Amino acid sequence: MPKLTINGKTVTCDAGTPLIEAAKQVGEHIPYFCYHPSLTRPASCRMCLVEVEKAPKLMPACYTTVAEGMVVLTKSDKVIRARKAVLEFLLLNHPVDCPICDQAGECTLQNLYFEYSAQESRLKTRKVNKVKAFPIGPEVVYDGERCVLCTRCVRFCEQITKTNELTTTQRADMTEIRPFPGRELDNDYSQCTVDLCPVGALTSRNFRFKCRVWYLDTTESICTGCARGCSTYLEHFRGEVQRFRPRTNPEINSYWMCDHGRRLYREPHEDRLLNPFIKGVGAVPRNKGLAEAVKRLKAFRDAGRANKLAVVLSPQGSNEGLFSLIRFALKYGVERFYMNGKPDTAFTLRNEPDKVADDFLIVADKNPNTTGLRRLAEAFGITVLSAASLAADLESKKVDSAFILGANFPLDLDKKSKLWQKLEDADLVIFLGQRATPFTTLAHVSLPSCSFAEKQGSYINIDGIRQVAKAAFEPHGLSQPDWKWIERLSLRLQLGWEYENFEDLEAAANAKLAAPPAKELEEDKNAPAQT
Amino acid sequence: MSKKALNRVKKQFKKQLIDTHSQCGDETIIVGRESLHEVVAFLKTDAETSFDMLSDVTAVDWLGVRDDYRFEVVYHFLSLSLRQRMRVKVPLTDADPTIDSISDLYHSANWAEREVFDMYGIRFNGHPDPRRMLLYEEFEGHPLRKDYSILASQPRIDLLDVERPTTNLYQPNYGEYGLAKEVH
Amino acid sequence: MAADVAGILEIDQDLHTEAMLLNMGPSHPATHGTVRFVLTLDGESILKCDTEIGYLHRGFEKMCESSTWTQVFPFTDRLNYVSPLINNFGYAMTVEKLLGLKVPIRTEYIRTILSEMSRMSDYLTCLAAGALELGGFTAFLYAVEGREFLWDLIEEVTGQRMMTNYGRIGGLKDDLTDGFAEKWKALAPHLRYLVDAVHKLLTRNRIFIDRMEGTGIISQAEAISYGFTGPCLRSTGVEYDVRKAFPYHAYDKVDFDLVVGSAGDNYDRYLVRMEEIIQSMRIIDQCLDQMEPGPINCDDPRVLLPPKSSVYNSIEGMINHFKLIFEGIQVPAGEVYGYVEGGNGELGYYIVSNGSGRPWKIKVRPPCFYLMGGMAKMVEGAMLADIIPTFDTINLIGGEIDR
Repeated sequence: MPKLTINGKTVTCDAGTPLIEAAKQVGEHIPYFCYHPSLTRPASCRMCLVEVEKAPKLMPACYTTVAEGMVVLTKSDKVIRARKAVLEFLLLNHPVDCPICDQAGECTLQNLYFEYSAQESRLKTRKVNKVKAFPIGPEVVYDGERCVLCTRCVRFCEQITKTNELTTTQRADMTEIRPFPGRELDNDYSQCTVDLCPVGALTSRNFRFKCRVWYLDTTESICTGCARGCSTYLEHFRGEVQRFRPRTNPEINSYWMCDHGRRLYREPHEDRLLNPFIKGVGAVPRNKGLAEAVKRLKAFRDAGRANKLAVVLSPQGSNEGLFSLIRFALKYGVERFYMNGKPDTAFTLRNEPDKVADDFLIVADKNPNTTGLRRLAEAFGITVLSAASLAADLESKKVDSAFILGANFPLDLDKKSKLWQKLEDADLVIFLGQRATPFTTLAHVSLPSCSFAEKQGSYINIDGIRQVAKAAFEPHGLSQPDWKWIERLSLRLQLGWEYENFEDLEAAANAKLAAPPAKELEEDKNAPAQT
Repeated sequence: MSKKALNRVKKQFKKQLIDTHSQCGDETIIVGRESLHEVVAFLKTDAETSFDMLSDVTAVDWLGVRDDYRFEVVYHFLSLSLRQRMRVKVPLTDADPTIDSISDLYHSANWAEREVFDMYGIRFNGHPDPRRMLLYEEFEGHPLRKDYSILASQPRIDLLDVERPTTNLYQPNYGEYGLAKEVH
Repeated sequence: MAADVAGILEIDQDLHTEAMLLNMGPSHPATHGTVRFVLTLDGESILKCDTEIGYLHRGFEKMCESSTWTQVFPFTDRLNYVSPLINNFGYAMTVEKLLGLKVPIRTEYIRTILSEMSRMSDYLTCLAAGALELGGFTAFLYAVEGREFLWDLIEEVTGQRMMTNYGRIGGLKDDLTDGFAEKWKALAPHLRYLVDAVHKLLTRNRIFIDRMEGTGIISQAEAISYGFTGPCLRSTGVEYDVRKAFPYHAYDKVDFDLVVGSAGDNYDRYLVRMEEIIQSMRIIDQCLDQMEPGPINCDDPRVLLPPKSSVYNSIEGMINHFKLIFEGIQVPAGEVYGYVEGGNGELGYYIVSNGSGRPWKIKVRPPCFYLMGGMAKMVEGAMLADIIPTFDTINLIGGEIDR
């Protein structure tokens, strides 16, 4: 464990640590463009040069590893002059694009210029012109003039996705990043290059010109695209999700996130069910919808048919929502539980349309909380049958009505239409979900629930790691979190609700998840093979 | 500027001072609220400090920045004879934002402390006239607190004599002369 | 005063009189400014005066917390709106103190000149309104004419008569216009003539003296305790002027007299203001003589906006401009109290920064806030009609007291 001195402060770190990381440990920040902790270090940008005693020239802090007794100065005159010089060179051919560049506000060049350089331009000739908006891939646009050639994107494609699409072409000041001939940047993680790019050279087509970054509020959330549950930052403005950015989480997704998850930024705003809906009446205020649901559930229970109600749980729901629903259902007298959710084919790999998973982050199961649902089921001791069984059980009259959470069903088209036909004939269908789908006209009462972005909820990913997604903005329309609807139904139906606030509910759900299984579970003959 | 005064206070109140600094040439002392009155009385009367004017009283809300306390009540003193200034800061917690009034020592504290109450909700014990200063009586909340949103709006106040009676109206300070009849 | 009051009440016991409540409401033709006095009267004598302010409260401090440092300047204009340049420069000076920035010498001179012009227009307004409310309409016209000419000059330099928005952190918006010195030299004798005319009309005027002398008296000790500063404090005999006691701008390079009264009544306050106008003219003359051509903004690109030719044509200028506008000047964390001599007294700015481009807190120490606090002391025991001259000579400016 070598011990060294940085700016007068001593630090001890593991052998092989680059100076940049060692400096971070003592709170000294060394600027860089081409360095990234998970990529190889070419030391090509020369921005991280620091002065090391007894070295004849300035050393790049990203490449130089710690050595015993090293004395490093990161703010001496020589170092500042070197940084000024590097910035001057980088800015020589940089276009005057700040007003139209998406990266403004989170641009490394802007921040470093202000910190170190702040000097006027000495350029007397014209700047080099390159192609400004080159579509380097289906989701990414490349601007040659803004590129500082840090080659982070090239190394990302080489080392992380191992797809090797990009390379540097041309020479000298005409150098540009281009995909190899006949290819484009179309791997499933192409938008990670947008995050990596320190300037506005690579921009995401989804986010281009949509919102200035200083208007964005950031909320810690998770991606609900698949069971991997990558940690994300949900960035929103005025109640609308603008984009996702991956949050560094060494246990799950390290620094990356796939494109398919990022595309879900539209989900909380598309086809939302915003009012309770009563069949034959239309959209109604919240209390009316609730009263109607209560009336029907009461009538159903009083007729002694509670055990004929099928409760369909959704692995898209949070642990708290599922916990409250299962408790409510058990108290109500429900005996049969089913599970719906997005099918594995909800999205496939861009380049291999027959594969639903890859060996990096994308998992076959496209629901964020399947593990959570299964664990809760075990803890409560209930068997959760697949959605395919639901149609069969409706047929055989094991159940004759349904309380459905969520509109995604992992069935193909004709199985789905058969299920809907059965539900249309059912005596009672209550739908609690966020999307306005044909279920809303089919169900007797549809109650609007809010998306994952509007409520705080915990989700368990495929490796069993529990994460909490925070609420980013207020629920749209009259929607409310699932657990809030269940609370109101429980209270109105006199089934009891002993949680004063959300924290208590969360703690109870957590406790239940940690509890051992209640009893042996039945087998589900209709379930598809586990992937 | 007032280093001598600062040293004098430091020597006199070694135990009561929490901290001192001289940022930007302004001597500042930080005391606990129990010792405030004592320290201020000393500042006013002692020959080497002789701060005969209380220039300003205000407060700073450190919500979200500091965990140990939330408010700081800030007093600015001026000595006309010795041409020196001093700042006194008193930290207050969110749970108990009360402090003793120094309006018995300085008349300017009367209005200044009323404004601090109005804007921050800090109560001054022993203040002769604890009303709001700049805002109307029915205002809800304390606007300069950091959790009062700049976009917040106030509820509509019922019209006098039409929707609410004049009898439970806020009374101005009539002193000991009482009130007979109002003429407008 | 209290003895008289008690005496009055004793006699009235037999007549079964009661104290009357009179509301001298927020809008009153003889009070220039929205202030409410709830007066408890016995006949014409004021037993108790309850002053209620806050009618022009606009949330200055809250707005500053969500603006960048430079965006605060238009708000400072609207504090003491008859002398906006003093507010601008006071704020700029305080932030420069926190930044540790030194402005060029020419800037100091220009700030001094324009502060004095603002001060003169403030005093002329006060005198004009005072005379007007006592019934002397001619004096009002003369004083306001002087103010108009001053505002013409200010408009030439800053672009606006009143809400000038001229100061900047690190300097000024623009240099003085060409020919400014010549125009001032042409104006100065005329201003002198107008001030003399007001003197001739008012200073030995029987009615004016009867209304102003011996009314609104406050003792020296009381004035200090109430936090008085400026002409009102100097009229009681205290020799305190921020320009002399803690010199700033170029006040230590020019020679001017400290004007001090003795009686602490309205007449002395009037005389102090009249004489200070002459002193201000002296200061401006000396500054114009001593000034040399030179830069008006300090050189720091982290504080100053770059010239537009650089902004639109080079990436460095663009980044500089971009960061300064969108994130604001990054002022180091800390707190500072900066003070200038405003039209009514010591105008202080207590600024707290948390290291970002937006202030954490800005508190304005308004001089007339404390003057109004002492208003009740000055009029209780006096007659109803004495409120008018007292209120006038305090020169309450609604924007400053309510912020």
